[in-house]
Amino acid sequence: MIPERLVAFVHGPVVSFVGTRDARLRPSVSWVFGARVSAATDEITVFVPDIEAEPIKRNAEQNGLIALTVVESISHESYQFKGKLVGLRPSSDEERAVQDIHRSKVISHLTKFPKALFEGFRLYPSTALTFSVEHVFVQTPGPGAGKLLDLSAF
Amino acid sequence: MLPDEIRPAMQGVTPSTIVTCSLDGVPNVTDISQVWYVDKDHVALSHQFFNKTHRNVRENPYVQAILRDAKTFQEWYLELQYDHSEETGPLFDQMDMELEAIASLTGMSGVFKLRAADVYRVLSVRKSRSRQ
Repeated sequence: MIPERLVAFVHGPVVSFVGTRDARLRPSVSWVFGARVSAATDEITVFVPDIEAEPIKRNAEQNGLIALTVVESISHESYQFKGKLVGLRPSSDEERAVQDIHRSKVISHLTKFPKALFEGFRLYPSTALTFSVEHVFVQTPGPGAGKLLDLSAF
Repeated sequence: MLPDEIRPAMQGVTPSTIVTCSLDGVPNVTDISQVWYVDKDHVALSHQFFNKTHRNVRENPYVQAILRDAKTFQEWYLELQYDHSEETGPLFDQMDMELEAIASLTGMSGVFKLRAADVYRVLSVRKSRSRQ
Protein backbone atom coordinates (compact mmCIF):
# COMPACT_ATOMS: atom_id res chain seq x y z
CA MET A 1 0.00 0.00 0.00
CA ILE A 2 1.33 3.44 -0.92
CA PRO A 3 2.09 5.22 2.39
CA GLU A 4 0.20 8.37 3.31
CA ARG A 5 3.38 10.44 3.20
CA LEU A 6 4.01 9.44 -0.41
CA VAL A 7 0.39 10.12 -1.33
CA ALA A 8 0.73 13.63 0.12
CA PHE A 9 4.02 14.09 -1.72
CA VAL A 10 2.51 13.24 -5.12
CA HIS A 11 -0.48 15.49 -4.40
CA GLY A 12 1.84 18.34 -3.40
CA PRO A 13 3.55 21.12 -5.40
CA VAL A 14 5.68 18.74 -7.45
CA VAL A 15 6.68 18.39 -11.07
CA SER A 16 6.24 14.98 -12.64
CA PHE A 17 7.27 13.12 -15.77
CA VAL A 18 6.03 9.88 -17.23
CA GLY A 19 8.28 7.58 -19.23
CA THR A 20 7.42 4.72 -21.56
CA ARG A 21 9.18 2.85 -24.36
CA ASP A 22 8.19 1.45 -27.73
CA ALA A 23 8.60 -2.03 -29.23
CA ARG A 24 12.17 -1.16 -30.32
CA LEU A 25 13.06 -0.15 -26.71
CA ARG A 26 13.23 3.54 -27.68
CA PRO A 27 12.09 5.57 -24.66
CA SER A 28 9.67 8.54 -24.59
CA VAL A 29 8.98 11.05 -21.84
CA SER A 30 6.32 13.70 -21.26
CA TRP A 31 5.49 16.23 -18.57
CA VAL A 32 2.36 15.32 -16.63
CA PHE A 33 0.37 17.85 -14.68
CA GLY A 34 -1.71 16.68 -11.75
CA ALA A 35 -2.22 13.23 -10.27
CA ARG A 36 -4.55 11.26 -8.06
CA VAL A 37 -3.23 8.46 -5.91
CA SER A 38 -5.41 5.61 -4.74
CA ALA A 39 -3.52 4.19 -1.78
CA ALA A 40 -6.10 1.44 -1.32
CA THR A 41 -5.48 -0.03 -4.77
CA ASP A 42 -1.85 1.10 -5.21
CA GLU A 43 -2.83 2.95 -8.37
CA ILE A 44 -1.82 6.38 -9.60
CA THR A 45 -3.69 8.33 -12.26
CA VAL A 46 -1.68 11.09 -13.94
CA PHE A 47 -2.91 13.64 -16.42
CA VAL A 48 -0.82 13.83 -19.57
CA PRO A 49 -1.50 16.90 -21.73
CA ASP A 50 -2.66 15.58 -25.11
CA ILE A 51 -0.41 17.98 -27.00
CA GLU A 52 2.58 15.72 -26.21
CA ALA A 53 0.81 12.51 -25.20
CA GLU A 54 0.73 10.44 -28.40
CA PRO A 55 3.99 8.45 -27.99
CA ILE A 56 3.23 7.87 -24.32
CA LYS A 57 -0.26 6.54 -25.10
CA ARG A 58 0.93 4.40 -28.01
CA ASN A 59 3.76 2.86 -25.98
CA ALA A 60 1.59 2.31 -22.91
CA GLU A 61 -0.98 0.47 -24.99
CA GLN A 62 1.74 -1.56 -26.71
CA ASN A 63 3.52 -2.91 -23.64
CA GLY A 64 1.97 -1.36 -20.50
CA LEU A 65 5.25 -0.43 -18.80
CA ILE A 66 5.14 2.92 -16.99
CA ALA A 67 7.71 4.95 -15.03
CA LEU A 68 6.66 8.09 -13.18
CA THR A 69 9.19 10.41 -11.55
CA VAL A 70 7.91 13.01 -9.11
CA VAL A 71 10.21 15.84 -8.02
CA GLU A 72 9.95 18.55 -5.37
CA SER A 73 12.06 21.20 -7.02
CA ILE A 74 13.34 23.09 -3.96
CA SER A 75 14.47 20.21 -1.72
CA HIS A 76 15.14 17.93 -4.76
CA GLU A 77 13.32 15.12 -2.94
CA SER A 78 12.08 12.77 -5.62
CA TYR A 79 10.69 9.29 -6.14
CA GLN A 80 10.13 7.06 -9.12
CA PHE A 81 7.06 4.83 -9.35
CA LYS A 82 7.16 1.90 -11.74
CA GLY A 83 4.30 -0.32 -12.74
CA LYS A 84 1.81 -1.49 -15.32
CA LEU A 85 -0.88 0.33 -17.22
CA VAL A 86 -4.42 -0.08 -15.94
CA GLY A 87 -6.14 2.24 -18.40
CA LEU A 88 -6.14 5.33 -20.60
CA ARG A 89 -9.11 7.65 -21.15
CA PRO A 90 -9.83 11.33 -21.73
CA SER A 91 -9.65 13.35 -18.49
CA SER A 92 -12.98 14.48 -17.06
CA ASP A 93 -13.99 18.03 -16.16
CA GLU A 94 -13.37 17.21 -12.51
CA GLU A 95 -9.86 16.02 -13.36
CA ARG A 96 -9.30 19.21 -15.31
CA ALA A 97 -10.03 21.02 -12.04
CA VAL A 98 -7.43 18.80 -10.35
CA GLN A 99 -4.93 19.96 -12.95
CA ASP A 100 -5.80 23.61 -12.29
CA ILE A 101 -5.47 23.09 -8.54
CA HIS A 102 -2.12 21.41 -9.06
CA ARG A 103 -0.88 24.30 -11.20
CA SER A 104 -1.92 26.75 -8.45
CA LYS A 105 0.06 24.75 -5.89
CA VAL A 106 3.16 24.78 -8.07
CA ILE A 107 2.86 28.53 -8.73
CA SER A 108 2.55 29.22 -4.99
CA HIS A 109 5.50 26.98 -4.20
CA LEU A 110 8.00 27.95 -6.91
CA THR A 111 7.82 31.67 -6.34
CA LYS A 112 11.17 32.38 -7.99
CA PHE A 113 9.49 31.79 -11.35
CA PRO A 114 6.91 34.25 -12.75
CA LYS A 115 3.35 32.94 -12.55
CA ALA A 116 2.87 33.54 -16.27
CA LEU A 117 5.44 30.88 -17.12
CA PHE A 118 3.30 28.16 -15.52
CA GLU A 119 0.11 29.63 -16.93
CA GLY A 120 1.57 29.23 -20.42
CA PHE A 121 1.45 25.43 -20.36
CA ARG A 122 -1.29 23.69 -22.34
CA LEU A 123 -2.61 21.31 -19.70
CA TYR A 124 -5.76 20.16 -21.47
CA PRO A 125 -7.30 18.38 -23.15
CA SER A 126 -5.42 15.66 -21.39
CA THR A 127 -5.38 11.91 -20.97
CA ALA A 128 -5.87 10.19 -17.63
CA LEU A 129 -3.28 7.44 -17.48
CA THR A 130 -3.79 5.00 -14.61
CA PHE A 131 -1.16 2.49 -13.61
CA SER A 132 -0.69 0.03 -10.79
CA VAL A 133 2.43 0.74 -8.76
CA GLU A 134 4.72 -2.27 -8.34
CA HIS A 135 7.90 -0.61 -7.10
CA VAL A 136 8.94 2.80 -5.74
CA PHE A 137 12.54 4.00 -5.94
CA VAL A 138 14.29 6.87 -4.20
CA GLN A 139 15.29 9.39 -6.85
CA THR A 140 16.64 12.22 -4.68
CA PRO A 141 20.08 13.14 -6.07
CA GLY A 142 22.94 11.44 -4.26
CA PRO A 143 24.41 8.01 -3.74
CA GLY A 144 21.05 6.68 -2.47
CA ALA A 145 19.28 7.46 -5.72
CA GLY A 146 17.86 4.34 -7.30
CA LYS A 147 17.36 2.50 -4.03
CA LEU A 148 14.17 0.45 -3.82
CA LEU A 149 11.90 1.92 -1.19
CA ASP A 150 10.60 -0.43 1.49
CA LEU A 151 7.04 0.86 1.67
CA SER A 152 6.28 -0.98 4.89
CA ALA A 153 9.08 0.90 6.63
CA PHE A 154 8.53 4.27 4.98
CA MET B 1 21.43 19.79 -36.03
CA LEU B 2 21.12 21.71 -32.73
CA PRO B 3 19.79 25.24 -33.40
CA ASP B 4 21.39 28.20 -31.64
CA GLU B 5 18.08 29.03 -29.94
CA ILE B 6 18.33 25.86 -27.85
CA ARG B 7 21.46 27.10 -26.06
CA PRO B 8 19.59 28.95 -23.23
CA ALA B 9 17.99 25.62 -22.31
CA MET B 10 21.46 24.11 -21.86
CA GLN B 11 22.73 26.41 -19.11
CA GLY B 12 21.76 24.25 -16.15
CA VAL B 13 19.48 26.86 -14.58
CA THR B 14 16.57 24.41 -14.57
CA PRO B 15 17.08 20.65 -14.60
CA SER B 16 16.53 18.59 -17.70
CA THR B 17 14.64 15.32 -17.71
CA ILE B 18 15.77 12.13 -19.41
CA VAL B 19 14.25 8.72 -20.00
CA THR B 20 16.26 5.61 -20.69
CA CYS B 21 15.26 1.97 -21.09
CA SER B 22 16.92 -1.20 -19.86
CA LEU B 23 17.55 -4.13 -22.17
CA ASP B 24 14.66 -5.96 -20.53
CA GLY B 25 12.40 -3.07 -21.48
CA VAL B 26 11.80 -1.12 -18.28
CA PRO B 27 11.78 2.69 -18.75
CA ASN B 28 13.54 4.94 -16.23
CA VAL B 29 12.93 8.67 -15.83
CA THR B 30 15.24 11.02 -13.99
CA ASP B 31 16.11 14.69 -13.65
CA ILE B 32 19.64 15.74 -14.48
CA SER B 33 21.26 19.02 -13.63
CA GLN B 34 22.42 19.95 -17.12
CA VAL B 35 22.75 18.87 -20.73
CA TRP B 36 26.01 20.26 -22.14
CA TYR B 37 26.43 21.51 -25.67
CA VAL B 38 29.42 19.81 -27.33
CA ASP B 39 28.84 20.68 -30.99
CA LYS B 40 25.91 20.90 -33.41
CA ASP B 41 25.50 17.11 -33.41
CA HIS B 42 26.56 16.09 -29.91
CA VAL B 43 25.65 16.81 -26.30
CA ALA B 44 27.12 15.54 -23.05
CA LEU B 45 25.46 14.32 -19.87
CA SER B 46 27.23 14.05 -16.56
CA HIS B 47 27.92 10.61 -15.19
CA GLN B 48 27.97 11.14 -11.44
CA PHE B 49 26.71 7.91 -9.93
CA PHE B 50 26.63 4.26 -10.98
CA ASN B 51 22.86 4.44 -11.17
CA LYS B 52 20.10 3.00 -13.32
CA THR B 53 20.57 5.61 -16.05
CA HIS B 54 24.27 4.75 -16.26
CA ARG B 55 23.52 1.02 -16.54
CA ASN B 56 20.68 1.48 -19.01
CA VAL B 57 22.60 3.53 -21.58
CA ARG B 58 25.36 0.98 -21.64
CA GLU B 59 22.80 -1.75 -22.34
CA ASN B 60 20.61 0.29 -24.68
CA PRO B 61 22.08 3.57 -25.98
CA TYR B 62 18.83 5.40 -26.79
CA VAL B 63 17.70 8.32 -24.63
CA GLN B 64 15.02 10.96 -24.89
CA ALA B 65 15.56 14.26 -23.09
CA ILE B 66 13.41 17.28 -22.31
CA LEU B 67 15.38 20.51 -21.92
CA ARG B 68 13.81 23.74 -20.75
CA ASP B 69 14.73 27.39 -20.96
CA ALA B 70 14.49 28.90 -17.46
CA LYS B 71 13.42 32.32 -18.77
CA THR B 72 10.62 31.22 -21.11
CA PHE B 73 9.97 27.59 -20.06
CA GLN B 74 10.19 26.71 -23.74
CA GLU B 75 10.92 23.01 -23.82
CA TRP B 76 12.86 20.97 -26.35
CA TYR B 77 12.70 17.26 -27.09
CA LEU B 78 15.96 15.56 -28.03
CA GLU B 79 16.48 11.97 -29.11
CA LEU B 80 20.01 10.88 -28.29
CA GLN B 81 22.29 7.90 -28.77
CA TYR B 82 25.14 7.22 -26.34
CA ASP B 83 28.49 7.46 -28.11
CA HIS B 84 31.39 7.44 -25.63
CA SER B 85 32.63 8.68 -22.24
CA GLU B 86 35.48 11.07 -21.45
CA GLU B 87 37.13 10.89 -18.03
CA THR B 88 39.76 13.55 -18.68
CA GLY B 89 40.29 16.45 -21.08
CA PRO B 90 38.77 19.86 -21.78
CA LEU B 91 35.12 18.71 -21.95
CA PHE B 92 35.44 16.84 -18.66
CA ASP B 93 37.18 19.81 -16.98
CA GLN B 94 34.57 22.29 -18.19
CA MET B 95 31.67 20.08 -17.06
CA ASP B 96 33.33 19.44 -13.71
CA MET B 97 33.71 23.17 -13.08
CA GLU B 98 30.13 23.99 -14.14
CA LEU B 99 28.70 21.09 -12.17
CA GLU B 100 30.39 22.38 -9.04
CA ALA B 101 28.85 25.81 -9.67
CA ILE B 102 25.37 24.26 -10.10
CA ALA B 103 25.90 22.19 -6.95
CA SER B 104 26.78 25.21 -4.89
CA LEU B 105 23.80 27.19 -6.27
CA THR B 106 21.34 24.39 -5.56
CA GLY B 107 22.65 23.32 -2.17
CA MET B 108 24.07 20.06 -3.54
CA SER B 109 27.78 20.67 -2.88
CA GLY B 110 29.43 17.44 -1.87
CA VAL B 111 26.67 15.42 -3.58
CA PHE B 112 27.50 16.08 -7.22
CA LYS B 113 30.77 14.55 -8.37
CA LEU B 114 31.62 14.11 -12.02
CA ARG B 115 32.98 10.68 -12.92
CA ALA B 116 32.78 11.08 -16.69
CA ALA B 117 31.37 13.20 -19.47
CA ASP B 118 29.03 10.91 -21.39
CA VAL B 119 28.83 12.11 -25.00
CA TYR B 120 25.68 11.46 -27.04
CA ARG B 121 24.92 11.88 -30.73
CA VAL B 122 21.80 13.95 -31.40
CA LEU B 123 19.36 11.94 -33.52
CA SER B 124 16.57 14.52 -33.56
CA VAL B 125 15.61 17.81 -31.96
CA ARG B 126 12.31 19.66 -31.87
CA LYS B 127 10.52 22.32 -29.86
CA SER B 128 7.88 21.06 -27.47
CA ARG B 129 4.29 22.02 -28.28
CA SER B 130 3.51 22.38 -24.57
CA ARG B 131 3.47 26.22 -24.56
CA GLN B 132 0.49 28.32 -25.59
